[in-house]
Amino acid sequence: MAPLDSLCHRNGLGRYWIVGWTLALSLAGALSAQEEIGWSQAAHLQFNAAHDTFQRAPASRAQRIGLAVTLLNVQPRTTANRERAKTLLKEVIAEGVVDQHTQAAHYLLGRVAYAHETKAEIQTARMHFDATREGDAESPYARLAIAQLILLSLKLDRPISDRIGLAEKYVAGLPAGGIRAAVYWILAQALMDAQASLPQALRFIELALEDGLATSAARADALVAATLLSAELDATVVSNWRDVFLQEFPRDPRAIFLRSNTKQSP
Amino acid sequence: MMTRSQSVAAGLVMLAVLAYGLVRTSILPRLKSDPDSRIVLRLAHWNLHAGQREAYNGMIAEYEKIRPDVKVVQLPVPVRAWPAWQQTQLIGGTAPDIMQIGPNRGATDETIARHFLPLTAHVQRPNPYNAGTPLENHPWRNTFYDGLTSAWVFFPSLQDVYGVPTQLMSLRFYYNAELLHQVTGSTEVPSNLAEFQALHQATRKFQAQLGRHLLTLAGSGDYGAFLTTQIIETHTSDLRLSLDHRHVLVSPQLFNQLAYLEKKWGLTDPDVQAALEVVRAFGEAMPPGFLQLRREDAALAFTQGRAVAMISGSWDYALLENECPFPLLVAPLPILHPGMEPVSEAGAQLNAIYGITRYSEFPAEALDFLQFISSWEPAARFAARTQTLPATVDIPLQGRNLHIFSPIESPRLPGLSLVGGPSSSAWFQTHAHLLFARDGTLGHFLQTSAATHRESVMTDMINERARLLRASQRDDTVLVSLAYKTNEESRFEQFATSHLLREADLLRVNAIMP
Repeated sequence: MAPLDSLCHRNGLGRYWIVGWTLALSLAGALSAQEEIGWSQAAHLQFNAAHDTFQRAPASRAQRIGLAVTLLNVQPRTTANRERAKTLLKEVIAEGVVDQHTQAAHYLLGRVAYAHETKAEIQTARMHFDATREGDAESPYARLAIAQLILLSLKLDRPISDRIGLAEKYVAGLPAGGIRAAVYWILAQALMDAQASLPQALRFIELALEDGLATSAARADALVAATLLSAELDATVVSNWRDVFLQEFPRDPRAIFLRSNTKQSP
Repeated sequence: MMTRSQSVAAGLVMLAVLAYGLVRTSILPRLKSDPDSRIVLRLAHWNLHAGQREAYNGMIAEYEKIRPDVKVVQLPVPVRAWPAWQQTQLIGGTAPDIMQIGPNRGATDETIARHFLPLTAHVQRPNPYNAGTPLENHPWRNTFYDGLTSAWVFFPSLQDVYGVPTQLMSLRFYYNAELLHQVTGSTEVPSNLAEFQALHQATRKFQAQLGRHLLTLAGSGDYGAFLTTQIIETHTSDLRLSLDHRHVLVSPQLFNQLAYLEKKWGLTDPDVQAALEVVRAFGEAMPPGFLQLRREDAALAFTQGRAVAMISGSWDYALLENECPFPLLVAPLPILHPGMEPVSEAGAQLNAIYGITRYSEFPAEALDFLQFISSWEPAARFAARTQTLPATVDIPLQGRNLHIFSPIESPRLPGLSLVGGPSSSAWFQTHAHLLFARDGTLGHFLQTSAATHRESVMTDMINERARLLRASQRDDTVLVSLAYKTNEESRFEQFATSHLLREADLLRVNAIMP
């Protein structure tokens, strides 16, 4: 756990303290320290500061990814920044090295095409997400790219059963973990929104819970849905998801409802 | 190649840099913070209701006895000036160590992430100030009424806890016990809508006998809107459940508004109409033109004995208890038909939520102070002094009426809202007079305002879609940064989950909206 002090802005002369340390570390040969600062700033939404940090960092493939990814969100957002980001990402890919930076570049180009361009470029996005999958299948980018391909499948103008079937093919490529759990929960939601196969929705919810949803809000929702769906599909079945929910979220406003309206495990 | 003297000089420069760091981080702050060399913590808030500032001073004095090395300075700022003041302090890098955060006070997710410190890691461990109390050894987060999951405490898009709540709020009716007795011959307060309507009729009769103007309910624009929201939520609980295709019981407002645009429910729904009739009934008991009145006007009419009842929140209790020259009664809102169950207030609104700014020179001491004020004994003393509900659990409530403010626990969950954003909120303000018009009817209100309500919901949804997209774009930078950082796998998965669920919501919004 990072001490609170380490997350504080240091004003005025304090900045020189950071510069001093960075200088000292650089002299000692730890040149990537600035990148680490940049990633930390960007992870805390300090996009402009992170971009400045990456500009000062020594040139490298990671530094170019840092510049590109912060350009997407530095204020004010401009088309020129987005185009510059794309150029940087394409340069990383053009170097012909297959590593995590290439995967990150493909993933980001996919996201730019899908969510940052004025009009979504679905085919370009799909191409880059597919390319991301070609590297290390367990990398964070590959997992995110597969999840994005699943979302694109759900967007198709086809019957819900076809869309779910296509999505399931992609799920097979996802390692167990939080992202696969989130995907299962999204598939269950899609089925429930369409009021389609509820047994299949319940199966997805149970898979999501087994994989481990990474946020407590999503886990609470999934536990409630598993409890209610189980009861709806077979009134004689007593779901143990109810007890898990009541144990884990006793202060959730829904706890009183579930205590009053659903059966307790024997 | 460096000469010997150059090497010595370089070494001295390095030593100077390290020495400066030591002076800067350990010595200078203490020397410059206060002439008596104590650490100075600044605490800024907008809780200016009666007794609050004095109670904070009391709590600060207690803390300074335990921590003689720390001095806490309270900065009360009027709520109307707060958003601009806060913005200036944060942008200028001069923000106090501890600042209040909350809805409609100018703090967005980005403001929070940029300017406040995440507290998630700290809330998992016991609060040391709870040692020897019933909350000893409980993780700090479990010592709060909401388990630190509510809005403005936990920020889902940032996946972190940033705020520590200290008070709970609830909406209640206050009664002038003397006047109530004169009007009805009893101090029994109405427990349902029919009894409230009977009180209104009795008040009108009494007024005629008395020969002076008397109100059944002192009302104001702000509290009229709160009352309307509460009535509609209470009467549409079952309707909301019928729309809960995702089986989560509390479908997000986003999906309720989408269902409205899909015409799965609307203003002409029987439950909504029944709720609006109840709203109209309360409108009749309030003075004509009450929508233009402010809460101070309503409080004045009530404290001067010109109204039998007043709607307000727990935050006004200390003021009214002190100012009213008559015995005060407090009761839940009589908005239900006989036999109806109230809806749960278990997701009650939190107040006086405090965060630590990134500009604090003493974040560890700021955290320690927040742990102190939210711990069992100080929180109990603060609640007793201010006659407010503490956000810390298991505190015995002192005060004749205070327990009535405790959130109602009920299996009925709150229902729908007609107001889902700024545009529909403006719609209500524009059309509410039609709903409350003495010579108007519900039919006329619906006929005149239904089309514009739909337009306002659509505008809110367009804005919500843009907000979701911006958040999703922002996630891209955060996610890649977390993937590059070492030892952040669990945080990466949390953010990825939040991001993917947001993307799925966007898909659904885009499938329904043009």
